[in-house]
Amino acid sequence: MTPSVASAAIAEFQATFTAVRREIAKVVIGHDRVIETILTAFFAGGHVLIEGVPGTGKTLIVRSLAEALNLSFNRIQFTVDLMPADITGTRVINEGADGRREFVFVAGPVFAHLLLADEVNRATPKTQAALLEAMAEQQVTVAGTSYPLAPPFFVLATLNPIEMEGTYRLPEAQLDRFLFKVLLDYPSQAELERIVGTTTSAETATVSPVLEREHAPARVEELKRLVRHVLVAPDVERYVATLVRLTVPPAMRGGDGTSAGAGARAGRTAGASAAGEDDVARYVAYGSSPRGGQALLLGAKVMALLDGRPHVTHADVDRGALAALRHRIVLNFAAEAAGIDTAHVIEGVLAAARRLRP
Amino acid sequence: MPAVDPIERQMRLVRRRRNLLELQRGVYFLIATAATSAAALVLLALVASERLFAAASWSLGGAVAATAVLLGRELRQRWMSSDTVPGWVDAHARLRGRLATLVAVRARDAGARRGGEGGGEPAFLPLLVAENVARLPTWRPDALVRRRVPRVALAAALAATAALALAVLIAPRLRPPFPEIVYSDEPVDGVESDEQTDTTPSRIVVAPARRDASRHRGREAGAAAGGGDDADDSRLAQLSSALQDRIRRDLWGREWERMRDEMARAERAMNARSAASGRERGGSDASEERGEEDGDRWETAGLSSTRPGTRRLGRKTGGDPTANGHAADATDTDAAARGMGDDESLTAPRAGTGEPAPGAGNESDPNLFGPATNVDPHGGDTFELAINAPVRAGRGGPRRPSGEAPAADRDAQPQLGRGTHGEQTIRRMPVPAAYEPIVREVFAHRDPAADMR
Repeated sequence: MTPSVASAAIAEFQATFTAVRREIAKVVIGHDRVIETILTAFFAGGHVLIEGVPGTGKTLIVRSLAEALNLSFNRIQFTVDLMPADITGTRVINEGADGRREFVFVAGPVFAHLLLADEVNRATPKTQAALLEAMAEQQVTVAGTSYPLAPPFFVLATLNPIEMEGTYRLPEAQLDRFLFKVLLDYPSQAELERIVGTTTSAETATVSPVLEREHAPARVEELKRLVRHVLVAPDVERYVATLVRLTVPPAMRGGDGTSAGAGARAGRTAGASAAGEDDVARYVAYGSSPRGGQALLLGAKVMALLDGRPHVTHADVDRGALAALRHRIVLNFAAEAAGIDTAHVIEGVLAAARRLRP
Repeated sequence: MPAVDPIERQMRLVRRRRNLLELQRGVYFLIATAATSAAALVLLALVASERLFAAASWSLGGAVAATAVLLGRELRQRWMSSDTVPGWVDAHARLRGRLATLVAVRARDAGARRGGEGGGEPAFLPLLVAENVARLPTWRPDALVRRRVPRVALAAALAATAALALAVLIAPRLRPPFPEIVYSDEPVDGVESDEQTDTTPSRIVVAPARRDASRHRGREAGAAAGGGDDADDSRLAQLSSALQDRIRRDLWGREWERMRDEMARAERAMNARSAASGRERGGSDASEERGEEDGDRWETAGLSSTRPGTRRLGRKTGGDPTANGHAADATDTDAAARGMGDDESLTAPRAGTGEPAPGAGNESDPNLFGPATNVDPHGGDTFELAINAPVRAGRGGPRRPSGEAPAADRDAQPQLGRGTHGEQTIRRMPVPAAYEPIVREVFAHRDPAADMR
């Protein structure tokens, strides 16, 4: 790829991203950071878990994203009686014109480019597991037959932090499938004023598609492939590995002696990462998996492209660290008792990793 | 893909310029530290006591060594290796990781290709190279490392060197004054009268006290006794002492060497006199203790114990007219000081009261003017022996004599002075009161006629 072609590709990526964000911003008031994170995960090829109280615009964001990208969109309201087949689809007996009966697969709502899994924690684990395969493998298996999902496939699941009775907490394995987890806060005063004003008026804002419907999936896939081409220096990769390793309690770290990739620099590690490591040792039950590192780096690549750069910097990694690691760190009871959240732990880990940087 | 050669070449230039700057900074600061310490050391060597100089020299030496270590460590940290250049340039030229990424990715790909694992060239690598080439002007060596010379470090080095030069320049002014000879018939102020010592001198040599002289004596005495102060005898103390001597010798020259030697000799003579006096007093340590004091001390320099009439050290004698005449002509105080204590017999054992001194005879002491030297007597570097001159050593420098020198005796026969005989000093001789009747009788003017009868 010549420099001019590469430069044009990056510029096109930036333009598409900006256009989509602008279209979503027409109907979604505020939540700029959340929208950027969701878009980042989308172009990075991952899925997003949104945690927020009802009525904060979760569904609207995903619907607007689908409309802006001109992609298919489905929404599943997860309930306790939702069955896997309700998600993946099922085989039904179909009688043909000749009178012969045969099983025909009826695709479920998962067969869409964008899927909103609303209140995913209200479904049973079995149903959640059905979504798990779709997210991880980009395919569903029904009666021994696998049906691939058409790319791009993007799941945006929501969690309701209130009314926890009768919910099934998502297993860590399923949580790990989400590239990012974002928290949707209440809108600010100004945003709320705009929300109530625009949503109750006669004229409702509409989202204009940024991509043509026929070419939209392919174009999105092109943009996603472009993300993968972003250059990453070895020291940035090392930094990502260090970050991930630092989230793991010291007692559980592997025996390669790297201690978050920084063991070789043990002399500097001792003092530099003391605070972050202390928090991890005290409050973290399980640290991030390698998927956390992948999420960090993919998100950083998208951010680098958005910044017009063909390479990743440490700052790009830092920007996505909270969203990429938040749901991958399992805190223990001590953290709960002390009121420590994952954001606090990640900030300590980031500070420690920054100090370890050459 | 644009060539990366310009990038690599510019990185080398930046590295070279930066390292040169850091090297200069380290050297200049080291010079500054060393020169400052040397200036302090020079001044201390000239004005401080031996003990203080020893402590200061080792402290300053340690400080210089510690500073050198710190500077070396800092230099090593700041020294830019080829691996750290891209990151440093990135940080300082705000390239946002472009250069570091390019270098790292290229190195990784080259390694992978060598290992047979290489795939295709990364898609964005040409773009990254092009971006770096386009940004070359933003990190030119002269733009990134603005100064060729570290001004602060250089200024510090120059200032410290100037301070050292100043210390060397003012060193002669710090040289202690030579002993001073004053002429007086009166006892010198502040000098305690010793009943066995005539304190009515005809010449007084006032010399600065040497605090370390008593310590030298103690050391010598200790060494003679087979003991010795471990601390003072340590090699470190000897080193610092030698250094101080060397600095003084280099900066004050040979004059100081002579003065030092003469002062040491006078001290030894005083020590010997004190010992003799102690023996005379039945082994009393009083005079010994008094001799150890750093306060006012008297010393008779050049007193020949072999001449008739010399009863003991410090007692004024009739004196040798020739010697006195030489001394009287000595208007140069330095020359007089150099004459001080040249009589080696001062260090010899002394005779008791009323006894002839060892080696006493009818002839002049062959060593009256000290051992023969190689000094050309006709050259400018000669001196006259100050004989029969009480030496007074005062603390902190010479003390000005009080009172006026006595007026010269009038020439009774001025018409004879021209071309016949050189004028000889007629000395007044103080006589003990007990002898007054006899002396008056002997020197009384009498009627010549009565004598004839």
